[in-house]
Amino acid sequence: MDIEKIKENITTKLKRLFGCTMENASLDQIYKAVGMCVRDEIMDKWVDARAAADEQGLKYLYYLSAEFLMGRALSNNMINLGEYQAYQQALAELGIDMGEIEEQESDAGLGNGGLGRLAACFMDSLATMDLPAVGCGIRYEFGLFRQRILDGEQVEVPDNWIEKGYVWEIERTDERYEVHFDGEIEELWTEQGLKIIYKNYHTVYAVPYDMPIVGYKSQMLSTLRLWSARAASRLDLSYFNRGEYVHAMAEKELSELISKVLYPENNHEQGKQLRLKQFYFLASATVQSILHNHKEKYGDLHTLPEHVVIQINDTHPTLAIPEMMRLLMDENGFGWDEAWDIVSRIFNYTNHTIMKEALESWSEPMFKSLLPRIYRIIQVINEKFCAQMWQVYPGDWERISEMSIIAYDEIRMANLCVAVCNRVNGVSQLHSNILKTRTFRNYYVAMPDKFLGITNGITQRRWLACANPQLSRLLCQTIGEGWLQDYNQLDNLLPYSEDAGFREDFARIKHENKQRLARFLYATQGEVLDPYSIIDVQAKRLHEYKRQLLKVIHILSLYNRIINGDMPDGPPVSFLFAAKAAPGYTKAKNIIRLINSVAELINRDARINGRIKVIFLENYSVSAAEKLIPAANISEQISTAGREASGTGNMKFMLNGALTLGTMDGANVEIYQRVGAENMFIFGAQVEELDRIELFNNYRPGEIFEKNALLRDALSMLINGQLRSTSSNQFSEIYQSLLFGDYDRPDKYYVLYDFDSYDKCFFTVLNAYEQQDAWQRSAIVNTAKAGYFSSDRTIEEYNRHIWHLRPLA
Amino acid sequence: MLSELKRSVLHNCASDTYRSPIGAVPAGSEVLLRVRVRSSQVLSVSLVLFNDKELREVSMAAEGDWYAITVTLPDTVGVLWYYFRLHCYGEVWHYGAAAEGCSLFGEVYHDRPPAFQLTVYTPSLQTPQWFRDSVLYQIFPDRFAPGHPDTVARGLAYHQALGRQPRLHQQWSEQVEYLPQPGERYYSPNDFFGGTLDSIRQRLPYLHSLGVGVIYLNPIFEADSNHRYNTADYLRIDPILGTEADFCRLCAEARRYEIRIILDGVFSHTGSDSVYFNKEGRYPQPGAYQGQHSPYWNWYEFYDFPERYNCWWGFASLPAVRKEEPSWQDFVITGAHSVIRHWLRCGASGFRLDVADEIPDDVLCLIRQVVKEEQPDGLVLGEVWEDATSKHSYGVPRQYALGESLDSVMNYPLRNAVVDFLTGRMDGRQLTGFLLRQRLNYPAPIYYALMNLLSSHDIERIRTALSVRLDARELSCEQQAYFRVHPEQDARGQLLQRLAVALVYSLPGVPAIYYGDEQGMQGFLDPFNRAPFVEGETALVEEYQLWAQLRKQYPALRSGAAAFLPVHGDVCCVLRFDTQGEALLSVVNRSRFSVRCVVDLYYEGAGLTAAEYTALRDRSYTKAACLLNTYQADIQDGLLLLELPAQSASLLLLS
Repeated sequence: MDIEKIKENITTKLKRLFGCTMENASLDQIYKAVGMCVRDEIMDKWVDARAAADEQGLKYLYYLSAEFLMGRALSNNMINLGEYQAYQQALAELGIDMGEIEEQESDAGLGNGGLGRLAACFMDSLATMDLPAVGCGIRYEFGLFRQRILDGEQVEVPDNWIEKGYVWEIERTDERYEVHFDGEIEELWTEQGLKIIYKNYHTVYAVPYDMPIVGYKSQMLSTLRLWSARAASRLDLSYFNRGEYVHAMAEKELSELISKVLYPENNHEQGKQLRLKQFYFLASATVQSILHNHKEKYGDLHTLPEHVVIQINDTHPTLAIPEMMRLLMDENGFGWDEAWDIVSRIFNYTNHTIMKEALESWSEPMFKSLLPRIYRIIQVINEKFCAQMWQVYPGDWERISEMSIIAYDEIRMANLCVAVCNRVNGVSQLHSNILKTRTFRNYYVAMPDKFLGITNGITQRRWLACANPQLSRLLCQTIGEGWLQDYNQLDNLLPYSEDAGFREDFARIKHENKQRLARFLYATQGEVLDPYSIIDVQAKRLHEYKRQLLKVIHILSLYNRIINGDMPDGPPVSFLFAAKAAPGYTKAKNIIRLINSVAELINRDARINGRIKVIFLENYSVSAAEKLIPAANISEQISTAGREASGTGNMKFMLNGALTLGTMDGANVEIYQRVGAENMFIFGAQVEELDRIELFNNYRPGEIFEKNALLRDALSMLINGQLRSTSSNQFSEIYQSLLFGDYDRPDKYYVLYDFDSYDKCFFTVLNAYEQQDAWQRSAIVNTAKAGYFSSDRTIEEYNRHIWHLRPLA
Repeated sequence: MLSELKRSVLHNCASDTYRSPIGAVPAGSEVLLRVRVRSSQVLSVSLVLFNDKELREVSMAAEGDWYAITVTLPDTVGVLWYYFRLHCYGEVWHYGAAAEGCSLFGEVYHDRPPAFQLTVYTPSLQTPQWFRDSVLYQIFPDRFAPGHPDTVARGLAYHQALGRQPRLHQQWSEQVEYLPQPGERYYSPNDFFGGTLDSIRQRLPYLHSLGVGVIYLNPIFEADSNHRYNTADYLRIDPILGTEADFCRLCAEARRYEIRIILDGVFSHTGSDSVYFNKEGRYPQPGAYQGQHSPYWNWYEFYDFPERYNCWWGFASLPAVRKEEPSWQDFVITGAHSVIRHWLRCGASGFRLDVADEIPDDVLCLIRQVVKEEQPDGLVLGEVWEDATSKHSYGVPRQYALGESLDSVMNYPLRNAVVDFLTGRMDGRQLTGFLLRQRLNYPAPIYYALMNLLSSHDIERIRTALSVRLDARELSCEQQAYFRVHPEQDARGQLLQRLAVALVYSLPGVPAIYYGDEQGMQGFLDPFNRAPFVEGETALVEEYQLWAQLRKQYPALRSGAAAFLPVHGDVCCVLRFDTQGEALLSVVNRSRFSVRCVVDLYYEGAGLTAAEYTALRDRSYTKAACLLNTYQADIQDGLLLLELPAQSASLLLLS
């Protein structure tokens, strides 16, 4: 669109929406006006695209996920429409800084971490590749909490992202569905067969909010459909008339609680009723709308598998499976086998975790009372599945109960998924192998064709084009714009690693990104970051297996080295942490406290003299990541081998030219395969080594502690009072659990085991950094080789192996 | 109640967790039996242990979910049986062996259940090592290789002089006879093709090339038939075959090829036309038929002298002998120059005992003693058609495989199972279960010496069984004679025969070739399975040679432990593993389609002991490479994903 037209549209919008002009509009109003202009363009395309897809009878993917970590939409949408520069210029001519406008948008944080962000990247890739797709999730009123650090501690503040109104969503009050909870079922044998009567249930309405997702210069748009809960009766007038206003509102409150808050990821937390309600709410509303749309378009549900494929992102939306069985049988007259055939062809499951404690299960009595009909259906699925497994493992009830969906008063969602779904995938090659050989071993042996591995990916549009505009521009100048749509073309960058001029440009942009980050940190939390220092970043959810603790203990050892004069000369290093801890995860919050205490100790100690600095970046979110990642030199991916399913942060850093310091875990393994040992720093025990240790149960962290003075001195600081803490035993608990264990074995995540290896590797990295030429060469190789980790490649694989969607012609 | 118990009671007699040790055990040792019970309905569990003489019930000690008892086995050998009795509130249930299936888990029953088998054998039992390392080749002497015409002519003249009427085929390529001679009611097997011991000797290089280590000769003593099961003179080589000197020479020369010879010991009966019975009066000395003055009078049992006497299966030409008769025992077994001693001294290395069912256990024991006296590593192999550990004959549980009797038996049950699997009458899981049961029921020394045959002179050839897929016993002799195997059928038979060979050569026990099978010979039942040897398919011969070579090269195939891994309905998968760490996985896909399946090497309860499992895990194999072609697969934590082509055999070496 031409610049004049854009300017005119914006001023018109300002007038019509807010009754103001450019001169007296607030930044928020200008943002909204700009957003609405962009939205208008999108709406036109959206309507056309859906009509065209229906006309061509295209199959749709429904991507079910309890989380969508979308981040901001404005600039991404402009980029994908190919109009970023035009808008930027138009705004500039209106005297407005694009950056300031971007900052007005609230960051839709409807997710905890990688899983939700993956869903968001997928929506972007699907649209870009013209594949018809609908993402289905919950419109949490409050996304993941905003994190504040007060006196070194994490404080959670609710994040009401829609409070000010959200430009990108469209409420569809015309299409709402009833979702039923509680009550009882009656099975009645009639002449037409078994009839299920469900009564005394409690109804909640599900109202969809649709959000168009624009692909890069493509025709098809994806739809993100988020469900919001509404009370069946907004106000109970019988109470109201009696003057009992609290009661009158109670039902509304209770019902609408369902879509109120995103649950923080917490692997320790046991199933909660509200969480189960949320998931059933999502499942039921989604499946109802799928069936409704299909009937409208094609009339008969028997053709459903030709037009619909469903991907379940982790087990949260699993209840869509029994819910579809229920709807087909109870409301559409299907027989069991008929319904089963359809369901088992439509559903596919992506597993995201191999940690047993994180495999979701619900207490049987709670489930039964909340969802009596769904419970009954799962029971039957289970019986049939166990009978099938008996053919494979005759008489082996031990094994069969391990595999069964209901056992020992628990309903296991992952087992339900594996038993029913057409395909089950892991998210990196290592993770898939662990799924096959360990987590789902018995299933894999019985049904090998179900299992496959598809390595996660990230969209280069957001994580390079949008997050790192300068590098993006350099790339476009150097190898053209093709890489935005065709990830393979990033490879063309490879020869430029030998081009001194290019290396210089590349390094300069990195430095400018550091400066940008420094400005951001100073503006948001008053931290001073030296842009000339090495930026060493660990940014990810806080979890013991991700081992922020290893990093912070190592920093303590560096501190001791400097104090003792043992630190070799070299450039200053800034250690940046960015992490949210689940509010109920005490140990994780203690680690945040520890990081901040260490920062305080080091940053204030004059003897350190800027040699190292520790900064905790508050409220890590998509938009913060967009500032942080392009500035990083070192990407810390140091999880205990075998614990991280894939990781996607590792890919984002790589794409932006950071070098990885990591373990052979998750997708790190595949990064290693692509960039090679000379462009990556690998340390620590591998999966097989840890397996053997666990097999023989011979890990003795105490012995390592005794032998390694550096480590011993660092650990001692946890208990010698040098570090400021809120309560006296805050850090001694960490110390205890590393050396003696809490209730189980000590140092479950092998922090001490890998310490020495990490230490050596860290100094290798520092030395490497001093060879700037070689370092820049490696950084360019990392960016060039990151094409494989584009979510476009990931989606290609899903489509080839699972979905079989045809793109819009 | 049943549905709860069904899911909560567990015992697997193939797993050390439940039975330690697994398999057959030496007398006097201890066995720990455990049952897992995860039901509050069960108040106590007792073990019911029995044999044909007595039954004991003992209560088991509870420890958590488990009930356990250590059983000290008696010093006497024999098969014991056991099941469990579950005492519940006011009710008694049972847990016993499951009827079929690939695993050895049991099932809950209301009434007395089928029992788990526990074989108790002689601790000192040893079987000849040379035999266990061999490939066996069975020869029907008249039909293997044409002999020198002079030898044959001399032999025929000898018989004719005695008044017999042997007929010589003019051509080696002629069809076998099956019709009665004009004027006779039944076919009499008097047609000869003229094979001799010397002609066998000349074929030793060929046998050597097949990796043969032992030749089993069907009877070679003088008799009035081409099969010679109606022995006329135990101490004379049938003159058509040659002379005793020829035999000695055969044995001696075979040794140079590291081949041994074993003979068919047909001791349950003699021919009626024999030195001993002399029904036709062809021998100068009086036989039993001549009356009490015969030295052999006591050998036989006359119901009504002279025409009614005890004979084998009612065949008057095969009078049965009284095995308890001292003079018979002395002549055949124990005497200083007994038949057995004589031929062992001539160079034989053991005997295959015809119709072992007809020979009492104590006589078998006597035979064993004499053979071992003559040659400590002499072989005693028995013709037993069923599982020799649990076989009853004449109402008595037999002791064949318990240590005091046979070293080996003809493994007909295996042959039937392999044919049933390859022709679709049994699936891969059932075959796996069958193989596992053999592993568990036989004492190890015998298990590794079983004669794993695919054909013999008594059944249709393997090629025919696999080509036509019908039961030959349903066909009349005429139908068999006129049946023409269609080339398409034959081609299918060839494919499947290769799979049968792959199976048999990868199992513990001695692979046995019936002469001509390796050339692809067809043949229904007797006499069609005894046609003269013809050369046929070089490729098939090479396949037999390759398998023998592999068995030679990889000791694990001969002496390694075996695990039978249930994988797929169309697949049979056998892991061979020895403590040196050599591991081979033999996989056969019978299906006409390719099969993708996963093998779990660590699947417990498949035949390995706990120690063997530990050793296997300790090896942590990561690669599997096929020794028959270029196929390779990765192993991850004991799992292999295999892509098996249609109707294929693979032998994967693990590393």
